[in-house]
Amino acid sequence: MLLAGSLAVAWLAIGSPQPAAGTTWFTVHKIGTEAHLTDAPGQPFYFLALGNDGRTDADPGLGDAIHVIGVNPATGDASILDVPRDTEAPGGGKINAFHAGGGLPSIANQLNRMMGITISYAVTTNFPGFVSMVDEIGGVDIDVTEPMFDHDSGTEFAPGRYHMSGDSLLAFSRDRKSYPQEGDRQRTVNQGKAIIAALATLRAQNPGAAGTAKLTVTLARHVRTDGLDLSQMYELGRLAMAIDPARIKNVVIPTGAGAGTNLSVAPAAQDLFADFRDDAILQNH
Amino acid sequence: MLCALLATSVACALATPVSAKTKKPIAKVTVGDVTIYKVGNAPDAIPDDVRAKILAAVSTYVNSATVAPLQTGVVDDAALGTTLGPAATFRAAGVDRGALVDEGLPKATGRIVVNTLPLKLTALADGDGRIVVVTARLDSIARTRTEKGAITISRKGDLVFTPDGDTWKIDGYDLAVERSGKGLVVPTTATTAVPGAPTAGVAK
Repeated sequence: MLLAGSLAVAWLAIGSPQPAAGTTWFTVHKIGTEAHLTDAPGQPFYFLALGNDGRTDADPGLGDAIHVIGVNPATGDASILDVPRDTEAPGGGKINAFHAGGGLPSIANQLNRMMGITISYAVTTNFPGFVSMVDEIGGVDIDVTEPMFDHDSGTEFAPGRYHMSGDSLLAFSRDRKSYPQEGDRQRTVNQGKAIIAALATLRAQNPGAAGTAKLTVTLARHVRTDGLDLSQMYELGRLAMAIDPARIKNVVIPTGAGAGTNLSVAPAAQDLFADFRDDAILQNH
Repeated sequence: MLCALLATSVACALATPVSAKTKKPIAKVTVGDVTIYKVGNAPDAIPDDVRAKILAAVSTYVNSATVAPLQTGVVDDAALGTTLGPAATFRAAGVDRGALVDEGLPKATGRIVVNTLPLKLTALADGDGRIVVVTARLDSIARTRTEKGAITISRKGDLVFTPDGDTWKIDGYDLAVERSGKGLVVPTTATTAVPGAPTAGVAK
């Protein structure tokens, strides 16, 4: 499944535009009416980065890579909570199905209920969009810490540092079979790592205020938005570039056995959620 | 200080010593290179009224943040407030104040000279051709004398403007400032905390 996470940085991501104009790389929704950024620039906020398995723009697909990112503009910090796709939703059933049934607002609502937060923005992409975005930024530098060799996802990585293309990073983000014990949980963590690595790659390019304008325009040609204008995209991009990737915590939520193949949200998750919702940043986890 | 040293934009005040002219704006700015990134096919230039408002805001910023404190000992917060949007106001009141304004410096006893390179403007235009963001690359040096000697204030970086009603205000900034010279008890440096920060600057 696709790594939605790069979306955290996706709209900053692009150098010179290569894909055909009009190709949709990702979709952004502003959800809710909470004051933030312009109205309350210091207030923490949350956004959802979601990878979907839709094969066409018309097919929303299952939300198979689910990452809730808390951002605290006042401190320039961010934290990521990774949610395994099989996690039971508060509304019943697997959380990933809510995207197929109701799109970003629906799955965001379930995550809000689960964590006791209010997600302000949600962004999603599919396989082709993800690959295009990563290739457009010239690839992503990322550390592989364990052997990853899986035919299905396409990984062939011995431990080490890699400069990955879109296809390689997609494989890295999809591989769960290289982890017999943790499986999808470790895959979800890896997706969070890819988000952080993409942000680090972009920051290393140091686009600055003017460069971010260029990136924003390039991305704007490949995004569908709902409730978000160009200046807000630019502002979010600038904010993302202000976050130090080295300080981002990336934590998968605790889960246990649930009904059928579902994973239940473990009781220990409540303490994690409380830490997350007070200021969008994990201090104790 | 020789006005002739000045780069493209120069302004000299004949305040020796500081007197009745102390509150007269000194810094003047001009526009240099302009780049437009646009989603659609237009516009090809920044409209004149937008350029004028950006220039006025930058001039007000430099005069209120740098010139006024040198003249009077305090930042002209009233004027500064007219140039800052909510996000910048929020940050400027806190950790970024040291990078944004030149507070706590000795008063000038000599002429205040501000050299400002022509602003490099970068505009972001939406699909309807509306300019929604303008960034201005600021590169200024202020020089003057105090009772204890000369001081120099160099400020470089980007100011990010967004429309606010009929005006354009600073919504973010990446600024680095260096203050040096015998007129300072302690030279200070304030820099952006991280590259690309929307609003960042930490006095050291």
